[in-house]
Amino acid sequence: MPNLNSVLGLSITTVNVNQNQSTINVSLQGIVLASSQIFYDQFVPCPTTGFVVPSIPGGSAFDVYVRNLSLTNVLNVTLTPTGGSAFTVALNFATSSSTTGGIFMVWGTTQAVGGFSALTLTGVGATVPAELYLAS
Amino acid sequence: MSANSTLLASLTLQVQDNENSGQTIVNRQVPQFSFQAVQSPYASYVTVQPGASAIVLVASPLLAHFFYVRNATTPTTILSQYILQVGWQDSLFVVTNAVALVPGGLIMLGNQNINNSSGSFTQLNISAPTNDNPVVAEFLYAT
Repeated sequence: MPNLNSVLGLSITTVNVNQNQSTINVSLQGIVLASSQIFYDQFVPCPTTGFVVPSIPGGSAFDVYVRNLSLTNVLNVTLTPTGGSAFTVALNFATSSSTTGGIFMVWGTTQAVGGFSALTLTGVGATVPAELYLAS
Repeated sequence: MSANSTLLASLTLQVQDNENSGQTIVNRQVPQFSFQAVQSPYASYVTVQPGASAIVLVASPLLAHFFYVRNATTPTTILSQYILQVGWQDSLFVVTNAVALVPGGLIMLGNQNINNSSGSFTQLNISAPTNDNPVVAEFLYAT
């Protein structure tokens, strides 16, 4: 029985660099998954042999957020959709400490459909730190 | 080609404990993602017909480094019949119909570093499964 709310707020804007005017403004607040379990780690060292999330909470994660914290190395994120085939997403490293490394996020709003049954984070060339959030 | 726009994405992740008066037990304001974009096509409302060929968005001549897709279908009680499928052609990995989104669900991939092609992509596919209902997609991608 869900006893938690996993809540996302997301805003995306584009600013015209010549006119310094906002052109697109997407603002979404309160995107909720009624959730039973969550996992959050702000610093997961991911070796070149892969960090396998030992136990996806609840068997399937419906909210997934991963961010590459490295300034030098790529992070590969391998996800297996529930009942589907695994795929890999590469998250690039940030170019400086004032910028942000690659972000991958899927946010579901129900436990009834979709989700991911497995997740592996693999550092490319070295151990790569990542920020990780899962909810189910 | 020089950048025409700056794309900014801000995320907040929160977890509220309903057994403890809705107390916030995780509260994460993710550092802002910023990307200098040449192109940043956006559509707020695109109807995707079930079983039809995927809507294919091609990033050309530059690689794309950011996309956002949301199933903007009005919420319904039968969420499973309003699925939006999202796939993309990664520069390193072939990804096809990777993620299924229910109404309100979304996916975002952003790689700020254009000096390394990892994580970039050339094509974004949006479709709806055969036998389901038309769904509405909102999308934005940036090269």
